[in-house]
Amino acid sequence: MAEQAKSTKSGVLRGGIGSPLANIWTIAKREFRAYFNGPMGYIVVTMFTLFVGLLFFFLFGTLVLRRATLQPLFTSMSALLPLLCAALSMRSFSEERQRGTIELLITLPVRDSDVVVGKFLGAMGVLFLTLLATITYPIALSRMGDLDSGPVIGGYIGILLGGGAYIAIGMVISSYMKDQISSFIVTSLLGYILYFMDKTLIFLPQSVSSVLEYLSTDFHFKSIARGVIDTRNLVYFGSVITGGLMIAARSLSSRRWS
Amino acid sequence: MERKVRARTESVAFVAIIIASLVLFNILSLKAFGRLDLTKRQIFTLSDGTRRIVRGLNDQLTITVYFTANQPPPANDDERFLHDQLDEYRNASGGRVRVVYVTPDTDDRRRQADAAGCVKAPLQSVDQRQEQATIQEVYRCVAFEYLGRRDKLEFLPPGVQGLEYEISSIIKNLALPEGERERTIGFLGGHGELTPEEGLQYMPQFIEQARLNYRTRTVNLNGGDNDVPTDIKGLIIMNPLQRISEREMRKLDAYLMRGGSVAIFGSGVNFPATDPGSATGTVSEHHLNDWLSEYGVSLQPNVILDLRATDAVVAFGRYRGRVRLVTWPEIASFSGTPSAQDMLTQGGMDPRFPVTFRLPGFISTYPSEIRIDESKRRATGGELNVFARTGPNSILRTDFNIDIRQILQQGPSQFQNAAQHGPYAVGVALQGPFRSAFAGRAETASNDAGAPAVVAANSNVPQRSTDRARLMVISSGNMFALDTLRTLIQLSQGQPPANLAMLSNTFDWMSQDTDLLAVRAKDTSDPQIRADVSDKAKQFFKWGSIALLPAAIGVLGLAVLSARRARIKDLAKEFGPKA
Repeated sequence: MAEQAKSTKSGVLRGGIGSPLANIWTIAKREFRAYFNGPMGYIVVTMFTLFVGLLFFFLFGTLVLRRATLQPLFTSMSALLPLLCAALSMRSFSEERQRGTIELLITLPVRDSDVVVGKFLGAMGVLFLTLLATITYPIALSRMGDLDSGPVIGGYIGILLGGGAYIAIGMVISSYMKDQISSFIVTSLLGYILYFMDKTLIFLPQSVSSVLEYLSTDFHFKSIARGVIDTRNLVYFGSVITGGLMIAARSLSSRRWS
Repeated sequence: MERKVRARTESVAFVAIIIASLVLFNILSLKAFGRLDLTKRQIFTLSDGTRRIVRGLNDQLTITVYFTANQPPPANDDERFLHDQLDEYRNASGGRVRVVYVTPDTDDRRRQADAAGCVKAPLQSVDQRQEQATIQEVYRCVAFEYLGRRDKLEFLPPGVQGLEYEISSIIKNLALPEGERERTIGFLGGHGELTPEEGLQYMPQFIEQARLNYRTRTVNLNGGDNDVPTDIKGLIIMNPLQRISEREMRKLDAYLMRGGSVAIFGSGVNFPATDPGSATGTVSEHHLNDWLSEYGVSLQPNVILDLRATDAVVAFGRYRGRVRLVTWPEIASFSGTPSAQDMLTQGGMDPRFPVTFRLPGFISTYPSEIRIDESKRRATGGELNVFARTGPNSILRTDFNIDIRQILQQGPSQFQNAAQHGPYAVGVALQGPFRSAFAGRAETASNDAGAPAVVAANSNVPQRSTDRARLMVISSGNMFALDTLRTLIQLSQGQPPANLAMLSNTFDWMSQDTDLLAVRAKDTSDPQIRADVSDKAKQFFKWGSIALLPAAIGVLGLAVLSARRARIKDLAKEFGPKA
């Protein structure tokens, strides 16, 4: 059985259903590699680090203000995250559809949830790698001043959770969209609606504004990025990710029936 | 077709169930939650002192927050911090604290805020790209109500430094019975000191206007016959001119050892005039060094002149001229929180210390150097904090005939090129527990013209203080004198001098609980990039991050993809169709 779950060199599953973890791992590895088989992965990471650097140094003027804090870095990342995650998630199902491999995917002897979670982890791997490229910032700044590691850890956790939420939403969109560009546009749009939701509250009555504030991804991200791990924020991000993945899996299943 | 419709219906139902379950889960998580504060200084966690205060509430405390939404940055970040902090108060109180948020966005709500005594004040936001500044009038107010008693923070200045201290102090005050709310601060008299009756006549008016819950009282030790009263929360010794006898010092020390707080404002040189332009000083005769030196602290017989001072128009006989007041150094505040190294090299004041908390700076009049004897300090114990230093371009002078015109005629080079220069310590504080200055020392009979030694009478004095004991020395005696304050008001064109705020901070420092003072010292500001980091290093960090890092990733990508393409070509050559 375990042997059956082993992947071929190209990463396509062979044989029957393996253990869910093995299947997920195989799919995740395949997805992760797929990003870097073409220029896409490199372009995304390069552009992200470039824009984060520009925002950090020019918009927030960190060195001019002499502040030994990475808060502006995480604010920049958080603002660019909907775009990055839309780029990472757009290919998950839309590309399969475009290439006509979606039928092959849904007829594979693995559960739909394994496919969805595997693809999600593959995209998360790329996000993790992108964040890893920015590790030079805390290293350099900690040599220049008494950098507090709490908000740095919190910031990275927040970006990973926020990214996870956007990717999960992107996968839902991608599972319904036929082409990648539409998927990218709709995911980024939805991502920015969630991001800006807590910034337009002045125009709304107080009862509505508190609900919208809670729905905003940036509201929860900011809380974690201060260096406070709050279960409310974890539940929020966990809910968006779980909900997104479950709906994406359902969407995949419904394809099988239709 | 029917199958499709059924599948769609099932999908919709599935999505609805998932969303409903997750919403329910989120609602539950709002009721029961936990937090882990990863910050080094536990910025977002209430201190033990605050927890103790809110647990001690016997009735419902209502906190109403009037906060205008969408304030200009960076002030807008404070609302979230305040919100979270008040959540912590509510959780720690076990239901005794109720928090109400009112956004004053309608006329009704604004009237409500005004009725609560809130103040609407302008905040400036700067658009750096358009080089424009806009002003927005906002509410940033917190009102408290407990058993019919009311108090408020009428306008929170931007920044959250010390917010917990301010909130906890108000709650503590409201919870105290009426009789205990007013505390007494003593002023030592009998040696020519400044007291509320002599030189500080503005004190009752100041206390009333600043709404401080303090009374003042002059304490006379009568040559050591009287003890320092135990009902006072602290004792201030301000600019003593005559000798304080050893017997009196023993009384002061005994008060300290029993957990009292003593603040000394006195110089090593006495300048009777409060004129910054010219004065003649004499070496002080208070003999406080006999006591203080046992704690490793001594007031030196010199005067500090400092280029870091305010410019002012000073009269010289018939003429008036704008000069730098080098005789009245300005102890400046840092924009952030200075490191110990910054304090040593740049001077200035420590904003974490309760007495200099939230001060824009203060003016020390004719200060003298405070020297610290490390070996004695170590032997005594306790925690010493040098919280105020003059600037790096300050020099010492032992000629006490001061004429600022003559000094300035010699030019700034005497400060900038001095072989010996500052920063010099002008403010230190010692926090217990520490050993008594008189531990194991018999009283000398010579101190009080034939008075018998009374070692036996002092035997019940603790040889070591409790941790509540606090001793502060600022080497400027006249900085709160009425005449000095008048001059400072003139110099600042009518602005209230920061020295007065320092005086109320001193009252708080002397009377407040140790754990609550620790809350005030909790630093919530961002750490600073060290001053010794070179511009070259900063530029390397900047351009390395903006250009080198993305370029390296791009080049890596190109290399990997080219290698991959070449490999595919080779494989195609090897296994592809042969021509």
